[in-house]
Amino acid sequence: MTSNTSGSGLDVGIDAVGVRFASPAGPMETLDAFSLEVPAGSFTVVIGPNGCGKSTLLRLVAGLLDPTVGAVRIGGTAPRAGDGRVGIAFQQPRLVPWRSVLDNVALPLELTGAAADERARRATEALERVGLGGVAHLRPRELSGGMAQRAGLARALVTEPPVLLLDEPFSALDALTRETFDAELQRLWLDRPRTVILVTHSVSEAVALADRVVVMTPRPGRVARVVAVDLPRPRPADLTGNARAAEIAAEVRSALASGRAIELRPWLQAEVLA
Amino acid sequence: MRPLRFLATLVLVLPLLVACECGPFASCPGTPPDLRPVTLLLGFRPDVQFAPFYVAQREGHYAAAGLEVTIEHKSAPDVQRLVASGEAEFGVADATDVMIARTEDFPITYVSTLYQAFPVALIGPAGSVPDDPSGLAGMTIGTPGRFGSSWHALLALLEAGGLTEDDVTIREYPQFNQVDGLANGDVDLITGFRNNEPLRLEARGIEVELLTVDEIAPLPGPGVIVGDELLVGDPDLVRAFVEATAAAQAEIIADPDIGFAAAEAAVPAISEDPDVARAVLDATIELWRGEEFGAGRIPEDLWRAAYDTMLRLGFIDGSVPVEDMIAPDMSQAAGANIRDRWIARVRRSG
Amino acid sequence: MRRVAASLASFGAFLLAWKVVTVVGGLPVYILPAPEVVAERALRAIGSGVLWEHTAVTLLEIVLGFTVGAILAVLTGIALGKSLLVERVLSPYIVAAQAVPILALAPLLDIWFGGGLLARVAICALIVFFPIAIATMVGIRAADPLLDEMLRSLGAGPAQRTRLLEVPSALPVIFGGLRVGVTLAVIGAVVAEWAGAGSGLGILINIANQGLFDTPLMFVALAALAIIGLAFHGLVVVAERRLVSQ
Repeated sequence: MTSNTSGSGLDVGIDAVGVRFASPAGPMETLDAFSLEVPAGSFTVVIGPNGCGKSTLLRLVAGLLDPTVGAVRIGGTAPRAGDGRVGIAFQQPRLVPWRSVLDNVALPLELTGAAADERARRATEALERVGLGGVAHLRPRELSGGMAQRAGLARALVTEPPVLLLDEPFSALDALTRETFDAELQRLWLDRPRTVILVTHSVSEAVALADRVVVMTPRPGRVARVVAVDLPRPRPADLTGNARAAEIAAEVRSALASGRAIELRPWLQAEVLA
Repeated sequence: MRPLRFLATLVLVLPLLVACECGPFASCPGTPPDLRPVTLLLGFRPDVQFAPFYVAQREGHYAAAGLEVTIEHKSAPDVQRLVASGEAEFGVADATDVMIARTEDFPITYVSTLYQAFPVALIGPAGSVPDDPSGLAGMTIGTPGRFGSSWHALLALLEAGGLTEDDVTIREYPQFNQVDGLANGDVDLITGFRNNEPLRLEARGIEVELLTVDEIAPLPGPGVIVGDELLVGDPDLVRAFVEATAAAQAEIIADPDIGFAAAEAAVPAISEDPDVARAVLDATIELWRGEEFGAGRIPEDLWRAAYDTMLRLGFIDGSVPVEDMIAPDMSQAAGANIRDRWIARVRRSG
Repeated sequence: MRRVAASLASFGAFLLAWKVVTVVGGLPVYILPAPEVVAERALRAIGSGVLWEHTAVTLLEIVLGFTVGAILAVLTGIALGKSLLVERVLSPYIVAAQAVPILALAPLLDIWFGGGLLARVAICALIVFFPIAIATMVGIRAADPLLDEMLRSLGAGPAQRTRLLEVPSALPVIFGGLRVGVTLAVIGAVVAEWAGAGSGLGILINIANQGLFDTPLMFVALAALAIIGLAFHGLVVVAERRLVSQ
């Protein structure tokens, strides 16, 4: 298992990657000529319209998928699921219902063969770090949505991976909880830096969290624009009233819109023109 | 009614009346209205051995006796049960089973003997069958199961030889395929029916010998049973059935072709192997008449002796006396007189 | 406590209904014996040791047959559930074996397995196999794909995913199959005995019915089989409560 010796994560390189699936409707390209360099320890947010391939991108980095063309590197070598370099938190908590919360969080350690007391110690610590110290022996069905999602995050962090991937982790929660969790996430990352790639729909979330926002085109996904976010940290999750934030947000939105322009249907285009 | 409608009704109704032979306008030559419908339960499935019943139906013996007999096939315990409850009037059962059932308070009575000779014997390859049952010690014997006339006969033979079940090894063949066991050499001897297994073994090229009970531990053979309610309520009906059946049997003994023809018509399976069926019928006829044909007569001394054997072997507890089990007066006066009278009567009404 | 009382009450009602049927229908003892006649016969059969002698044989057949059949069925069900190819190759034979009436197959199996306890265990195992295998297959297939992906992301291989996800998630359905299977095991043991055995409750039924013409004893054997079925089913339910915790 790779330990986070550099203290601030590994760099992630995506080199001219294309992903093509066979589908009943014919071959489908989800990513095309996608290239991105993610510096070690940075917080990168990927944003794009539905179906643009952002989830596919995460799965490439997680080692769950191989690109059809191109290559992915983590710290110079190809990703491999379970080698401990990547932790991933999904849109759903994805907790195993018949295990306690503690055993769920300890699952990655169990798969690498760690001893029971080490597992318990590290899982307890991970739960405390996300603010779930008291629920270790509950079952997932006894948790609220927000608590379950945090438990999933704890699981992703329990192996202290140098790279953390988050696939729309808070989109299923209400806006208030979401802001709180965004702030928490930032705190956790500042506390123990690592490379973070977070996928989202939300422009405000992207601006609040990211060092850089990668805007994707619709399918097949490419990089439309990379927008740097030079706001000072720590940032509040709610940046309304911050003029610079508003500027950056506008830039991100226009990048999204122009990326989408190709996709506009004739009637909508007529409306815009009119 | 208006003329047209009346005419229409007449046109519709009249042909129906004419066509119905059994209506008030015509007598019915085919179906005499005073035949008593009765049910006869035979074992398991149609077989050439039931020829007397097929002949009695076909040649009109039952009709002449005022009976319309419907044959159904049931398993042995069901035959006794249904006759006991009155669901069926007549059945065919093994004498030793009747003793046990009667002791268990099944209200049935054995009224007529079908087989004067006991059908079950011990069968084995020629040269290996002991003449004396004491020679059975240490042998392996195949039998369908620890019940039924085969089992009773086996234990009676062993007892006669001073042996018990523990002196031999029993191998059970619940599928009634003990013949295969003998052919494979898995067993030394098998119990079987004298008119069946030896023929099948000889067809496989195996010469056989038999050890029969008749001289050693005599037991009565299968016969007709009726429910006590019917026996008491309508003894004439019972007697008529018994005598008609005996007459049919006599006809077959005199001319086996009649029996075979009736059986062929009633038993579809015969057409697959008519030669074997004919051989079985010929062997069966020998069992019906034993030393001489008895027209259903029940040998009371034999029954008493067999009752004591069954009592000693523990199959019955003696709570019901043998006299309650049989009705010898249903098949009186054996022999040619009855037989000839019935044949003449059948031919007259024919 | 209320559950026990309710069960006792319903059993009492059943006995009463039985008695009423025999009285009102005027049914003689050799057609349908009344409950007290069966009970008296049962006491005699227990006292003479006859009932235990045959029950022990059948119990052994059921325990061995069910265990062997269930283990094979769960393993096969996992294979069927995980691999479409395996399902396509194996399922025609499994379905065909299920469709042929066991009553017809049992004598053949008795010969192939050389008679004796092995043959009866084999027949019993065959009869419990199908429902348990199919339940396992369905349960395995129903495993949450989201959880499957999560485990893959942690580097879990197929065997680990079977152990950690598919089997535990399939347990409720598998137990459904086991409940059906255990009651079929009782039938299987009786069918197996009818194909070729010297003793057992199925044989006792035959002996009572065809040999002794002792209908109350036949009912005693039937009641014993029913009680055995209930007991084993109850054991499976208890096991389910302990092992399945979702």
